[in-house]
Amino acid sequence: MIRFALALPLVFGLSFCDSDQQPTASDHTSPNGMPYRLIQMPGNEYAAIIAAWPHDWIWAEGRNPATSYIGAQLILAGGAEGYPAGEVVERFADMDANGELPVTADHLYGMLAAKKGDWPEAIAIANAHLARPSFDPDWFARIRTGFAQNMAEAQSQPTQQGFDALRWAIIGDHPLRAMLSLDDAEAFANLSLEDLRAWHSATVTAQPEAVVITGDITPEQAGAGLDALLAGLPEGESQMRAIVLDYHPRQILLHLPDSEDAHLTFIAPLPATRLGGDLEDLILATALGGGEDSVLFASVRDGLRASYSFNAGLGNYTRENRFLFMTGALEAAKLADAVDVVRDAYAGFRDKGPDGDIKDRVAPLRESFEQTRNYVMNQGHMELETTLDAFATGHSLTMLEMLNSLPATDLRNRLQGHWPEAQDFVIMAVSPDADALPGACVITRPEDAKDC
Amino acid sequence: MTRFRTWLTVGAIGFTGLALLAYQTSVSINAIAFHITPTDTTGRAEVILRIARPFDPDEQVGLAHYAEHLAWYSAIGEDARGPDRHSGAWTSHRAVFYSLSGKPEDLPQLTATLARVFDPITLEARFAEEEREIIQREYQAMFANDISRRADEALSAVLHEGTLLASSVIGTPAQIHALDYDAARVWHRATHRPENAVFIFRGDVGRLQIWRALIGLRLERGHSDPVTFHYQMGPEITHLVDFPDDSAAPRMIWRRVVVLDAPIQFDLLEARLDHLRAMLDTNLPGGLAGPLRFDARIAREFRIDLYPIDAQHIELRFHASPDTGTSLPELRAAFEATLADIAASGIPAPTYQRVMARMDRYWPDWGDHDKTRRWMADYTTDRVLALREPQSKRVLQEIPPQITRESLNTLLAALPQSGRTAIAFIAPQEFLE
Repeated sequence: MIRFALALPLVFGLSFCDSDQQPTASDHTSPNGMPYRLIQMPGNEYAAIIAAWPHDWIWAEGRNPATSYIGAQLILAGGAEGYPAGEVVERFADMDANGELPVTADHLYGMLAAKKGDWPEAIAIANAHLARPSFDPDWFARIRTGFAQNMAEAQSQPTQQGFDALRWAIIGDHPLRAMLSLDDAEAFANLSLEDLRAWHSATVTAQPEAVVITGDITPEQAGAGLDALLAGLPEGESQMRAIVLDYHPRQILLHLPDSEDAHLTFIAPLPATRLGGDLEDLILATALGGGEDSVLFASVRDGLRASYSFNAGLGNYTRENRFLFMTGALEAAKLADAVDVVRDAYAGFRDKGPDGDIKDRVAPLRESFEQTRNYVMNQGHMELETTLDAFATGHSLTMLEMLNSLPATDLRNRLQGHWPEAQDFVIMAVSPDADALPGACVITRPEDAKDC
Repeated sequence: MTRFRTWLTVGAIGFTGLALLAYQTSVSINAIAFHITPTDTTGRAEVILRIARPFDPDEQVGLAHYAEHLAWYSAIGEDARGPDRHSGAWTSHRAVFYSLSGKPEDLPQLTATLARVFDPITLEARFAEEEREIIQREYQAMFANDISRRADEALSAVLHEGTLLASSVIGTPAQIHALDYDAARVWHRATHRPENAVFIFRGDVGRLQIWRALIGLRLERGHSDPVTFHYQMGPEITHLVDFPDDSAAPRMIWRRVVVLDAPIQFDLLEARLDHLRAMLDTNLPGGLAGPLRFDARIAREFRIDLYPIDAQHIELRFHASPDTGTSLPELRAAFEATLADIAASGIPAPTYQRVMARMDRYWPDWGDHDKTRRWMADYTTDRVLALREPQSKRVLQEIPPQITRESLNTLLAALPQSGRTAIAFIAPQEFLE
């Protein structure tokens, strides 16, 4: 459920509906035997299928780290048997439909939404792309080149290099790091269509780990739609993998002489969302560093006068490896002071908890959850994440109620029981001054961080 | 008779008192313009204060933005923010904005706090100097590592030369360094006046509640003319500039302003341009995607924007990345030739009909009160923020039948005309040679 933070701002223009009837959740199995969760949303004119396939491709040695990103893009854009590239995009626009294939370290997600009346056709198109993608060489070259150029530009940014160094420090030489950083230009040059075909047949299978269907549709329609989506896909063998990360507290300084500003990041682990507490984490992270009324804004902008903004957030490298981060760009001369100020601000926050009435803290989230109930894709995505975390059916629909009854003591308990202590963070600084952070392990290339 | 005279006197005094009260109330309320855009965000109210920027070609670049930072800190400060209060401030080419949101019952306090931006800035000089450095950090975060944004700033300076839209809002690091606290205070004093300001009340708000908040402000309206937006396109020009960067993904930003033969009501013009843009952005006959992306390997991706500057000037912006083997000059030539071909033949009827069917969600369902209310709230806010007068629902409902194929093709025909064109090629040096 870390992905709530990502899912909530995604207000899909399509799939909106106002209805007085509340959505309900239930478990079903398709005629072909595929289990799925159905959230019936009365009155909604759209329907959606959201699936998650286990994605362990990168764990094996020798796999190209760019494969899954380019493979997913090629499936979406490059056409499929019976559907030349360029035609589907117009048909989807006619249907006000939307299809996406986001990739994470653990899963390949498939997301499809369309007007209820067009749903069967949208599913047929999606099935063709999943089961029989064209893998056209010209489109492959185009997407690969675009990715390589965009990543090269991103890698040149000091902030990006700081995050790369963090991944070297925490993940080390594991292939997962290369997939998350995409910092090897050779990976793009070496990628072949054969790599994509192998990834596709191993990943896009008839056995997604979880499926959620949303909309004003019956279980019969939903089950038939799911079987149609997965028709012709191969049997799968993917599984979830575990990785041990190195979060031992240390300070690292990446010396980039040409960088104008300094960049500072604190990072420390948090429990996985399957263990609960993610609502509390969202509220706490917002209070800590979510805007101009946050603790970090008051400390680093109002107090130290070092930064335009300094933020806190939640992220993860894998589903099991979740983290809290605090980050921002700073005046280079104030870097060392900023480390102390941020650490003190965090320590105070962890000790006392957020100021004010908890009702004010939950109000923005409540509004987002209320809105989510009108959108088939957003509601489906939330339910899918709770499904992957093995929560009860319809857990996403109870969020509003949980929010309304959340006591302030839960926030303090969460902070003091599960959030890292101030000295537990890995601190990564990027600075034009090699001596800006006394005692730090100073490096000049991101990859050297693995030895710090 | 005596009793009647007494009652008459009392009545007259009472009536006069009521009239005076009503007058005083209306003076207080009318001392500042305001718009009410209620939405269904229960328990939350937001107040936005817009201060129009008068156009002064000699105004120091970045000064308004610096003054906005200082006025926000001076007026709203840390004590006015908190768990139940959210605040922000920002500057555009046309205006400076301050916002504060909180509980509906706090609306008078929210409004009064925001109105403190009319008071002189009282920050310590050291704090103001530091804020200039904060703006340097803002520049580094927003512009320094974003070559497209920097290119767009350079293109705007050429494209909109001599107008309010030409100069950068934030400035360059050197221009930020040259900002001066006293100059910012002078600019603030000259511009932050009730007659230049408009309040926008959003969220869970009611008219009586707003009147009460406005009466409490006791603002006095000055007598200067209201600031209006005026745009006059310069002479025709084509300006090409290279932006070499060793790491940049090659791309082109192509922008053109053209003047129409006659003005068109702004909302109608915007709606027509949005529909035309949707047609140009397709792989259908009359669209750009076929010739540039699907039928040929010229642009691996592109984005097209088309919007009105005012009732008679429109801007086309085309941002594209070339396919492997296509140079930026070839991309430019192909785009210009394709645009000219499409404009010459016009949007075909089948494409027009097919895309028009997709645009049914462009307007709200006018029969649905709640949806219409939400839509009108956002529309009104958008217009007021841009210094434009929002139109009534009735006027807007008359627009769709006027989005004819002929009207779109007339606009399309104007695009290849030689208006004022500015183009940026962004790429590693060797790609530009």
